[in-house]
Amino acid sequence: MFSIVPHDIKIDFMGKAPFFLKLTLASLIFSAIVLIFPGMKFGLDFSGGYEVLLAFDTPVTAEQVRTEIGKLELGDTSVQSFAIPNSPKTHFLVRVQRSEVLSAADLTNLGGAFATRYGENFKGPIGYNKEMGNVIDIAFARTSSVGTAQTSSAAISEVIASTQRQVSRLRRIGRPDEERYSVVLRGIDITIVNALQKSIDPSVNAVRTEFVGPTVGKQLRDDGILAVFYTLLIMMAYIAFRFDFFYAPGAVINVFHDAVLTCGFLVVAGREFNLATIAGVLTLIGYSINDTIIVYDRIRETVGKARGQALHELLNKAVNETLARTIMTSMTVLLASICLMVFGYGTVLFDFGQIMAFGVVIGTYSSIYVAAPVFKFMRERFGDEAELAETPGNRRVNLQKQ
Amino acid sequence: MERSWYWRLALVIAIAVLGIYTAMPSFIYLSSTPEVRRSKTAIEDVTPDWLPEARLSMGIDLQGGLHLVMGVDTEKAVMNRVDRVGDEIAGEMKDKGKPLASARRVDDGTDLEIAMKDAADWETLKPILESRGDNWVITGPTGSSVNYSMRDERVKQLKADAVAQVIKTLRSRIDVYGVSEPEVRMRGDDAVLIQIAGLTAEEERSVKEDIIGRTAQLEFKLVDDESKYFAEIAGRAGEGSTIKLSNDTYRGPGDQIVSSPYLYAPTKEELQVFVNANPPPSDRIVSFSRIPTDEGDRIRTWLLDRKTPLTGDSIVNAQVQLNRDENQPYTALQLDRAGGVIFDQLTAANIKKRVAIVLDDNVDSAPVIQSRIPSGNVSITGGGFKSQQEVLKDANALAMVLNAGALPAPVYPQEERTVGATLGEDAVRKGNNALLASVIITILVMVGYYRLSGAIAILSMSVNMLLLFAILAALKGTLTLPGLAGLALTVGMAVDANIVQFERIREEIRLGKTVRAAVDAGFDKAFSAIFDSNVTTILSAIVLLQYGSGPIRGFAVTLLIGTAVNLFTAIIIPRVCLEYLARGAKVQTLSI
Repeated sequence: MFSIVPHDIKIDFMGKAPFFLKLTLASLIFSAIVLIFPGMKFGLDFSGGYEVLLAFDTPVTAEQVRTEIGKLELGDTSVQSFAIPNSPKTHFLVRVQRSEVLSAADLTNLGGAFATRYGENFKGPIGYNKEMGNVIDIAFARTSSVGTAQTSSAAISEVIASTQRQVSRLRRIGRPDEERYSVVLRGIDITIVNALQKSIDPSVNAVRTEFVGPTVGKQLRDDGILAVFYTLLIMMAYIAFRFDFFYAPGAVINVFHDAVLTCGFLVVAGREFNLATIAGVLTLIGYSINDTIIVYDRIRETVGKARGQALHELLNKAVNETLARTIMTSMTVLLASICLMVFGYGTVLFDFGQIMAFGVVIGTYSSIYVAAPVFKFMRERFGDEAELAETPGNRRVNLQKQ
Repeated sequence: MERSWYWRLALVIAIAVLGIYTAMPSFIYLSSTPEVRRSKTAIEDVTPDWLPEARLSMGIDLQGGLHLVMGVDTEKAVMNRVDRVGDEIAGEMKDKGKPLASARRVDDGTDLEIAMKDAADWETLKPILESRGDNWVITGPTGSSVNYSMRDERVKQLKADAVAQVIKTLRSRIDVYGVSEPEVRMRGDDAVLIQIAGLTAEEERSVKEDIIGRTAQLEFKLVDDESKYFAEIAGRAGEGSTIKLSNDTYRGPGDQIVSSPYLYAPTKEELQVFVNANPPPSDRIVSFSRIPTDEGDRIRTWLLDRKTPLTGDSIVNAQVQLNRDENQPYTALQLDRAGGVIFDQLTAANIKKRVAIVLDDNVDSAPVIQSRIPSGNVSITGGGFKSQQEVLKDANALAMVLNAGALPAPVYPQEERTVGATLGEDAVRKGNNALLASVIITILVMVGYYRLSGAIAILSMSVNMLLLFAILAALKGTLTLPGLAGLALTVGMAVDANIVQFERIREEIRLGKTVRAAVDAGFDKAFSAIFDSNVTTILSAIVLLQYGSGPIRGFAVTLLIGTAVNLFTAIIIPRVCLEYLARGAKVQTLSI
């Protein structure tokens, strides 16, 4: 039986607890600070907007793409080059902050263009609801075909094209005595691709596009926060039920510690927060609680059997006895996470792997130096009163006060 | 060995065999080339018939495709209904010679503020308001004004109906593209999720824009059942053609049986090409609908009058009602005034002929005109040899189609994601490699450290994976990239439980116990830790499933099933194996 740690190992884990308490607090404070400043960077899922991954057959510089997209006047946009290993194509990731097809300024421009062309026959303003996507309503006075320019589908498309927007479909609506048109505009992603096909390279196409509407981003974010909150609540309740109330706060503080540190790590690593990140953090919580429970299970067993021993020693014993297990399980999960990072580079797998790899390390640390000391504190501070209650799973122990 | 050991062994083997059987179609699917995977018929050809039909499929991120979430403005649908009721009440009062001062909706709510010209008109108004039954609450009158508000249950019902109608309409629009398994379903209370794989970039663009920028086109057209056009051209289809001729019968004028020929074939394209080559008379057009046959669904033709006397714009409302005498469900269709006049003329001239209800160029149904309908109130009765349940289902479906003419509520895009097919293939390759690598590393670590017992842990992990795939397949789940990540982590966590057991057994052996006693004690003592840790993971996965969306769900599903299965595999399989070594083989030193 080869063993990774000697079976009779006796490390005074709890003796070093005061030092690690300072370390824990320092890293928590550091994480809290970076979470406030510079703060979380929200990805597309939470901020809303468009993201388009472009592929060119020919070598093109980011500057060229940036200039051409700048001409479309889409507001806050970013263009980054995006490396895909083993691909002969040139890729760029374009992100457009806003999610509505037309901004207030665009509408003014468009209205101005129609007014110039049709004068008083154009009945502004243009009907548009940004929540409803890309449909606009244009109305004319009935006399528009007399004297001034003709209102035809082609003419209207032409006016719209002069403001850098493209028409997908146009049809006449309303009663026969009205002159109204409903126009479906191309989405921003298609507008970008069409414009670049004309100006830079006809081979360009979008290999991946993502659009998240303005209200949805907020909803997804709220759902994510709720998910974390309820997970913590349910775990606390379960541990309180299976163990007792001395254990539950330690488990929750432990999980909270892991989540805050991981979020801080993501900020420092410059990663964005999106749905996949939230899923990763939640798995980490699941894994961390897993680890904590195994240590707690041993503490429960050791404390239950012991008579007249110091809690300090009992905790050391429990942690030492589970050490081989802790190292082995952390190692297998860590290796699996590294596989995700190495082989899934460039996909969401990398994000999962990164979060888990970091999470496993601090999850293991926190089971020993957060969960166990908090349990010790709870037991020593509130132990006597609770013992009188003689709750199941909490067998009487002679505690030696330190 | 004890009898219970044999029982447990039999259980494990039985479940593993069932797992292989259930997961087999999915394994065949996943190991096929992308071309085979995308085609419904090709994948059916490579899957043996005796295997179950249910299998998992690949998500949009893995095989490439379009993912759309369309929000439905259900509030607007309710407000439209409230407005219409206001107009109707005003109309009825006007007909009775007591016009209202106004009937307006209060802000963006579901209340109508009805103002009478004279408080004495209440006598006339009251029965009109009460005739709408339980769906509305009357408060007042105070002076000459009455508050009339829609009940919450009715509001909820209207919202649900609106989403259901949007789904029906969108599905019929997507069906036109003929992709194998488009997914159109409700997401949350007021959104529709659409997932389509296997479209060209051009088609994807048109789906995106069609779905957003168009209202369904609903038309009524007369059916030409007398023409022998289809019978005449059927002969030109040639030997071995998949296009076949059949007859459709119904009771026509004078209760005579009318037998009307039609063509049918497996796909719409074949029929379309054939009809284009043999065009109908210039005042007729050919339309299509789907019919069930013994050999599966087929597409059939209809010969319709080119003229469209009536469109969906004339429909005020359609709903299912019950015929009081026979308790028979039917679809009640209410037309507006202009539509009513047209329908009056149409029905008077064409009694005992059929009128087709055409939705987006496809014939949905073709009821027979039984009598002249002067009022604009049309009732469409199903029947034939169907049970009441089936008739009710048909009536509901028809009401849905009739209401689909104009979308009941505006839809707007909430999320839109497209993934190119090559990017998807790249993701599949990376996912496979990552999964494979984590399996291999885990095997090396476990077998290297725990020897034979480690191999046993790998066996139990493999059964875990197998059952996970089997359950996903049985649920017809979707495998996504986050799902693959969940799978790779399940590999790591599955052996976690075995490590706890093995370390415990090692401790017991060190205390000087016999192999047999150490195995028993080790498993017993490890149980509570494994149970508690797996249950907490299951609980958090359930929370994820409840509150998560998109990638979070795919991840949560694999995590949930993987951990739940782990409670079975990690506890029972190593124990059956180690008990055999300790009791059956009576080993003196355990390889652990």
